[in-house]
Amino acid sequence: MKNSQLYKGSLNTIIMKLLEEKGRMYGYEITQKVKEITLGELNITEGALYPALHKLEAEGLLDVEIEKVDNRMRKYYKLTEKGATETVNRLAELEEFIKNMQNIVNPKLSY
Amino acid sequence: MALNKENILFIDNYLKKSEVVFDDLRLELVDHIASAITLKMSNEDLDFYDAFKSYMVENKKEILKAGMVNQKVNLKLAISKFLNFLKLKGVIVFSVVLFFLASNTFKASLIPYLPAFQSTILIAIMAFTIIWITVFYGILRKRFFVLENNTFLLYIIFQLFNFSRMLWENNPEMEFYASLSIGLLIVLYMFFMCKSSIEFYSKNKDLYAIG
Repeated sequence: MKNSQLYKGSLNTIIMKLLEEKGRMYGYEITQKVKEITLGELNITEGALYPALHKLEAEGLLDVEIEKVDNRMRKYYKLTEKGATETVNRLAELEEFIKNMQNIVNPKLSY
Repeated sequence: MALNKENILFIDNYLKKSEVVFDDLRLELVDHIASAITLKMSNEDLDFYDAFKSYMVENKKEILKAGMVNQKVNLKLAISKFLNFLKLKGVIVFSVVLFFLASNTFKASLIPYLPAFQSTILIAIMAFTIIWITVFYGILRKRFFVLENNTFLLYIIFQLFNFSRMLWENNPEMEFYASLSIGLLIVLYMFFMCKSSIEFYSKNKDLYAIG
């Protein structure tokens, strides 16, 4: 993942935001969507993505559906009810963080 | 262009040989690699093997990292899932009733059997492990990370049980309560593992049919 430390802390929120918008997604689709939105600037690696998805699933924030697609099984992730509520909270927290960072890094922009 | 069954099997075997041992982790990575290769084949006009080779040269490290298991994270997850199980109303009622009965009504008749308690718990864990291995490795022939990450915690609780008995060896009263509490915890944990496995099996029957 590019600029790892800055992005790492937001990976779960990025995943949850995408799932909130798309309903359900599979791992590769998430990496491609992030690449597309950020015009190739942000590349989520497999080694970061899957442990994050499994952790969110274990926390009860994501649910899983498995389907057969093109001779293989595909695991889709979607937000649970608890996950949907948590997404709203985490996005609000992230927005607040970005606002504060902006005030610190570039105070002029806050006026 | 969709990959054929042989291509999928090739990717699966490659991951197996690279020690991605859990079926649920491998399933996701097979789909991930297959999706990436399909795109590569059409964008760069490559055949399957060239596309696979080119993709793995760039991404092997990260793919295998995703297929590895982080014990520290696993332990945290297992603890968090077990704590949620302990909060269930039925579990609380069962534990309180059992604890009350054992520590009041049956205390006098249980104390003489304390020395055998440790071996009873050990036999129960061993029997549980043998049944587990027979069912998952022998009959179903599948290994799932989401289930196996629970086993480590069982052995930690058992060591806690042994330690507590050593600590209060000369205090029968304390030894009784420690054995009772941690013994109960072990029984609950084994029940939790059975419950999680059955729920996982009912929800993911398709996974047991693949490969």
